[in-house]
Amino acid sequence: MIRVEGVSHRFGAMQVLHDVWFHVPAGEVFGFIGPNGAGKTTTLRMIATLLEPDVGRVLVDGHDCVDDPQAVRKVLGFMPDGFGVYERITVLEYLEFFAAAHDLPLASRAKNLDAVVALTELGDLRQREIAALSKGMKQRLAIARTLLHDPKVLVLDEPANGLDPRARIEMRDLIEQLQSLGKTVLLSSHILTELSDMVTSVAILEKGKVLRAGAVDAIGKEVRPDRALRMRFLGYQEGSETIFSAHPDVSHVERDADGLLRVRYQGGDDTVAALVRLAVEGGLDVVRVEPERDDLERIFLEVTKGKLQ
Amino acid sequence: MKREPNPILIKELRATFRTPLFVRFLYLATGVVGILVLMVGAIAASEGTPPAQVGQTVFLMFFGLAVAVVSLVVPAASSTTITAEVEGSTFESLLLTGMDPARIVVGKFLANFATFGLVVVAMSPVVAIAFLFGGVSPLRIFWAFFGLFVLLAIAVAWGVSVSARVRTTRTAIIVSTLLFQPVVLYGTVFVGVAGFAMSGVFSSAENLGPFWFADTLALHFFRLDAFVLVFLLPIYAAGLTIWFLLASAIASVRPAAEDRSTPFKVWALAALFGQVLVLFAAFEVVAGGRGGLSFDPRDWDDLALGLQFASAALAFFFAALFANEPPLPPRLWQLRSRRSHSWLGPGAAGTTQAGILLIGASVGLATGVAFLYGNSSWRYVTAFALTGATTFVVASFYLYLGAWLRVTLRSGAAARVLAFLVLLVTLIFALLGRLIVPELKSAFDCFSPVQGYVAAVEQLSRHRALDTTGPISVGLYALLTLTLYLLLRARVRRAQVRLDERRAHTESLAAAREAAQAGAPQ
Repeated sequence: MIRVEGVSHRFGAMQVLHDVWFHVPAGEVFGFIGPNGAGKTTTLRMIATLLEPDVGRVLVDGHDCVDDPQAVRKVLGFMPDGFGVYERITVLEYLEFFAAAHDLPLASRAKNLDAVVALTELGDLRQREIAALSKGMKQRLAIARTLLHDPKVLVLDEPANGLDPRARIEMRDLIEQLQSLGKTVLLSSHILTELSDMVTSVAILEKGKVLRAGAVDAIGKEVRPDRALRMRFLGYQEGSETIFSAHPDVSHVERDADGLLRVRYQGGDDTVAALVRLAVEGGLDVVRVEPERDDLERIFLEVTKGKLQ
Repeated sequence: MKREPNPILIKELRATFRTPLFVRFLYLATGVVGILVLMVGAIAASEGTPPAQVGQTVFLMFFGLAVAVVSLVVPAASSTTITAEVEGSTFESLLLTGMDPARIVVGKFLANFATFGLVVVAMSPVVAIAFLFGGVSPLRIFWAFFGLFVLLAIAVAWGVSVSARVRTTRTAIIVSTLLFQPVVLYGTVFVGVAGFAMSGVFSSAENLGPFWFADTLALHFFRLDAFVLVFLLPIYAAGLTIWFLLASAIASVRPAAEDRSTPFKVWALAALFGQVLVLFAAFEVVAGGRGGLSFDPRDWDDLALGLQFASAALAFFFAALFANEPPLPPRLWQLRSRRSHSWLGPGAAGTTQAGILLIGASVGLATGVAFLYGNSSWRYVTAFALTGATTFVVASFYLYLGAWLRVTLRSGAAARVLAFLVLLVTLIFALLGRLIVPELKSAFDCFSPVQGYVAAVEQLSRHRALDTTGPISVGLYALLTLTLYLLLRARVRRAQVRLDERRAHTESLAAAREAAQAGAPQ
């Protein structure tokens, strides 16, 4: 749905993007992650037709962002980081204004508006002046605005930035709803916990270069082929490390500060079962077994080698 | 299909009329103007001034204050219209709706015009005080308001244009307010002088200063000379100014990949038509004696020469306007028209060619009129020809120098300034050279870009044979222009080759990546 092909860009003497390639499949929630200043916003602005790449091309739903920006704008909704809203008009007037600006047919305009208001749960606030809305509600309104023309693709730059925990959860639910409606969502963030529950694929950007791009699980396996298992036993059971070290699939065993045993191994669920069996046979009273997920934070740290930005 | 009203206009009006500041300003402006007009009226009446004169004083005071309010407040307030959106991070969302930049700018213009038009309307009852004393007809007040609304439209267009050009609201307010004051000042002086010049033609009330036109239009609107000179020409000039300012704002809002120069070419054609209108007015209406003016035959020649210099101003303006084009036509234009270049279209090559044609047409019109109406003696004919040739060649030189610098430096503003500086330095060099080394005076004169004008004027005023340094200077600048034309052409070709290479590189990269992906194991 979105293809970024060999994009490079420079602002004056500063090279902000260098040969960036990635592909967002249709219907996915795709995370674009990287530290501040990595070039995320620049890339998203190119996808949104607000900036032209110096080299390379960006395609959205098959349309070139430079050669046919109007076609791209018809299938894309973009919410920039630090978006603004018109304060002195009401929620309904705001949405009506953007519907008219999009030149939506008058016959279907009211239907579109109702659908968008229902989806973003702004129904009770229709007549409220925007200046009186909370930040979370303004964020919802901005998303409602991007949905007015029923775009196939949504590009959200730091959508949960500055939101309180409740508003973040609501935002996450909204994005899941959008995915269920078949929308392709590309969202950027430098707060990885915010993305980890939502995204299925990611591109990791650092200093203008894509370090890895693809499905989260695949990248996780690629960056660290072995997996980890956390185990807790009843009381402190000395010598438990040695029981696991002997297993041929186990590469490393360590005990963390909480007393949990962290066993790194290669293999699948059968290895997990074998390790649990080994613990029981070794006389350990197993209380908890927890396979570590390939979470974004770990992947990000592995990919960026934990360097300070 | 019926088109719905401009959404920007509706949104802006809703937002403005809900802003408490605007409502306070409305009361304040009306209150202050009302009190000041009443005070002046009361003082004038208490001094035993005839009532009719008090009425005129009140009339002048009201419209003077209204002009002050319009020229001080309107450019500043209008100049925030786009910068506030940019600073409030709403402008990009607006552009992404796919709304035509022209519709955005026109919406902003209309909203500001309606808003401040309401301020003028709110203040208008104050002028009725003049009716208590007499001396001012309702028709005169109507035409004065008409003039005020024309000034308001120019002020709003100016503010919107500045707003589209600069990045911050603070800069926009400072730039628009400071630069508009000299425009109003010189405009007022010009209108006053024009009124004085025409005082013998149109009988009108005295002491109306720059508002003489209101009286003239009230009394003589249906006379051809009054209609053309006092209504049609000013309206045309104001319309052209507003058009230019809005076109400039639209070009600033339009993405660089779109054609930005063609609207200016259309505007330039309209400006040329304006020149025809001026010539018509000058030669047929006024000088033809239908308005009662009679010219001394010697004045005809001065007028013909004056018109040539006026056309030079237009020609140099065209040169500066069309010097700011990127080397190649914008990509979207190329895609839409399925052409990589056009003879008169966007891009440095096409636009300079269009510029040359427009400069030629402007000069040709003025010179043709001079030949037709001016003195037919050889002395005058050569002077007219030399003036026209100088304007054409030097303006073309400026155009090509600016265009070449623009393509080389990639900055329109820098190119225009540098090209102007080159002309200025050459002029100063020639002037200093002839002073420091008098024996090489003729050689230095040939370098001067204005030598053609100097030679023509000298020939006419001192009854001397034509100074050959004039034609030599024209020839020299024609050669330089030709060189710049060739340099520009080479640059444009190089840019086209580079663009083709870059496109081929991107496509080959994409093809290689696709081939690699297709061959990779799943």
